[in-house]
Amino acid sequence: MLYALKFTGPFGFMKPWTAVRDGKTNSLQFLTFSTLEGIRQKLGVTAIPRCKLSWGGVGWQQEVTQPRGWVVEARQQRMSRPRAVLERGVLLSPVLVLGLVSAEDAHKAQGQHVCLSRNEDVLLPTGPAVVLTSAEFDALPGFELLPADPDEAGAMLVGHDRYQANTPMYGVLSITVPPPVAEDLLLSI
Amino acid sequence: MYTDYIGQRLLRVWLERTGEELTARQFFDTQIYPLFFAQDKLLQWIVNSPFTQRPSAAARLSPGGVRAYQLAQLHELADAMPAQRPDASFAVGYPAAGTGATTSGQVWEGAPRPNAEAVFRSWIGAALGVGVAGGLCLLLHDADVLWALCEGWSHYRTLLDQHPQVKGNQVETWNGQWLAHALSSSYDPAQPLAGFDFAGLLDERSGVVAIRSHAWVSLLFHLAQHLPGPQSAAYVYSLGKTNRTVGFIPLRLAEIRTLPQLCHRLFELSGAGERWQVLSETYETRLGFAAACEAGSVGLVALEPAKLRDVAVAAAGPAKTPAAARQQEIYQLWLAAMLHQESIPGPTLPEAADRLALVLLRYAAHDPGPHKGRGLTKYGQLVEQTFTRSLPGFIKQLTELLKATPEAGDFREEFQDAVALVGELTPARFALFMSLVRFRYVAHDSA
Repeated sequence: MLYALKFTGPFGFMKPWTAVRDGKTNSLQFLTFSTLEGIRQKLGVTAIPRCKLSWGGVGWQQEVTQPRGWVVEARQQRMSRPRAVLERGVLLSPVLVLGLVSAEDAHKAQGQHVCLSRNEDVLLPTGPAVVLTSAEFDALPGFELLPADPDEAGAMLVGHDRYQANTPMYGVLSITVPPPVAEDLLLSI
Repeated sequence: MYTDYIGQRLLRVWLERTGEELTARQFFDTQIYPLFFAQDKLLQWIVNSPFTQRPSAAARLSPGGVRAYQLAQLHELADAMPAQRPDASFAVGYPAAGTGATTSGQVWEGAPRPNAEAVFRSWIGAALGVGVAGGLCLLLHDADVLWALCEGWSHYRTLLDQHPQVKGNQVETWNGQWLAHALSSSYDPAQPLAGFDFAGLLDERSGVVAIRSHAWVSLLFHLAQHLPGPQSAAYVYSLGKTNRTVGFIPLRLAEIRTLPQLCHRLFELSGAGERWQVLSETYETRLGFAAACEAGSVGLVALEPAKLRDVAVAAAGPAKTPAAARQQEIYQLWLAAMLHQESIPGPTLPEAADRLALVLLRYAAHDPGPHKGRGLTKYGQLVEQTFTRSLPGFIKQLTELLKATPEAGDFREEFQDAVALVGELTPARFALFMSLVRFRYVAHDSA
C-alpha cells in the first residue's frame, strides 16, 4: 500500500545531467533516482519508492546567468562577471505524486514544500495523502523512471548518483496517459 | 557527455560483430581519424577542436603533415586527463573551458572526471549523431542502428570524394539520410549503395552545395518498422557554439506502427504495401521535432498531420488532385489510428465511423425532392449539420433527421447504435470520431 501525496505548483525545471554548455535546455520530464533521494532527505521520510510526474505544457523562460569566475579585462583594468541570457524550457503546472510507505511519512511530508528543482520552482502539497495499491499508483497519469539494466531495451543513462559515489543510473521511462498537452485535440469540424 | 556512453555501446557492438576488441583510442585512430579528419575536407566540425584550428607554423612544417600534427595534439590533450579539467574543445559534449565562459555556471565540480578513453569515446559517439530537419540530432541506442551508421561513414567519404563541389562537415545530416536508406525495405547489404541517390539529396543555396536533412517523420517510420519492442530511447540534442539539450525522449514505436498496420487494413484494394510507401513519403506533421519532443515522448499524437485542423474547420470537400487525395488518406489514417488505441468491446471505432458515414450518405441520397443538380439537397443539408463536435448537438441533429423523413424506421436503429457508441467517448475523442466520419462521408460520396 502506498500513501500517495500530490504536490503542485506553477513551474518545474530539472536540468538534464548532460546540459553543461547549453544556451537552450528543456527540462527533464521525469525524476532521476538521485533527485528523488534528495527530496526524501529534505522531507525527512524513510523512503519514496514511487513517484509520478505530469505537467500541462512547456513554457520557454529566459534566465540571466553569470560566469562562475571572473573575466579579466586588461585594457579597462578591471575584472567583471558579465551577464548573459539562457533559455529554459520549464514544465508548466507540474503535478508530482509521491508514493510514501507509511502514514507517519505522509503526515511529515504533507506540511512541507518541494522544490522541483530550482529554488523558484516551489511545489506545495495538496490535501492529505490517499491510500493506493501499487496497481492504482501505476494507473496514475504521468512519467516515472523505473530502474533498469543498461542492456534493456529503452534503457537510458540518466545521470550519476551523487549519493552512491557517482554510480551511473540507468532507467526506462514508463509513460501512462501522456500529459494534458496531448489532449489539446479538440478539432472543430 | 552522452556521446561518451553511445561511443561505449558502439565499441561493444564492434566487438560482437567483428570479434576485434579495440580501445576507444585505437578505434578513433583506425576507424574515425582516417575517414573523418585525415583530409582537408573534414566530415565533422567539432568547434574549437585541434582539427578546426588554423594550422600553426609548427603544424605546417611537421613531417607527417598538418592533420597528423593535429591528431597528436588531440592525443596530448586526452592524455592529460583526468588530472586536468575536460573541455568541449577536445572532449565532445563536455563543458566550455575555463571559468569565464557564459555557461560555466552549469558545471558541477564534483562530477566524475573523464579519462583519456572517455575523451575518445565522446568523439566516437559524436560521429553517431543522427541529424534530422530542424537542426536537432538523435543518439539512438540500438545495436543494429549503431552498426548501420558505422558502416555508412566510409560511403560518405567515398561520395564526398566523388562530388568535390559538396561541402563537408555534415556527418550528422549524412547519418540521417544513410540510416533511412539502410533501414528501408529495399536495402541490400551486399550492395549498400544500390538505390541510393546521393545527387538527389543535394541542395544548392548561395553557391554552397550541401546535403539536405532527412525528415524526422520518415526516420521515425523506418525505426518503428525495424526496431523491436514497444519503446526505444533517444537522446535529442544539438552541438554548436552553444549546445541545445532537448533530453531523453522515448520513441513510442508500438503506437507509430499502428499507422502502416491500419493502412493495410483500410486501403486494401489499392496495393497495401506501396500505398504506405507513398503516404509515408508525403507525410507532413503539424509540429516540428522540437515542439513534438516537448510532450515528453514522441508517439502518435506528435504525428498529427499538418493542416488537418484547417481542413476540419472549412468544409472538407472531395479531393480534386491526387496529392489532395493522398492528404485525405493520411488524415483518415491518423484519425483511425488515434481512435484505434482504446478499444471498447464490439466494432472498432474506425469501423463504426465508416458505417455511420455510409448510413448518413444513404440518408442524404434517399431525398425524394427535386434535385437541381448543383448544391446540396434538403436532406444533404441536414446531414451536413450533424458534423459537429458537440455531443448534445449531434444527438439533437440525429433526432431532426429522423423527424424530417417519413421513412425513419430504416434509420432509427442505426442512429441509436451510433449514439450508444459515442456516448462513451471523451470530448476530444468524439471530435476525432466526427472528423473521421466526415472524411469517410466525403470519400464514399465521391467514390
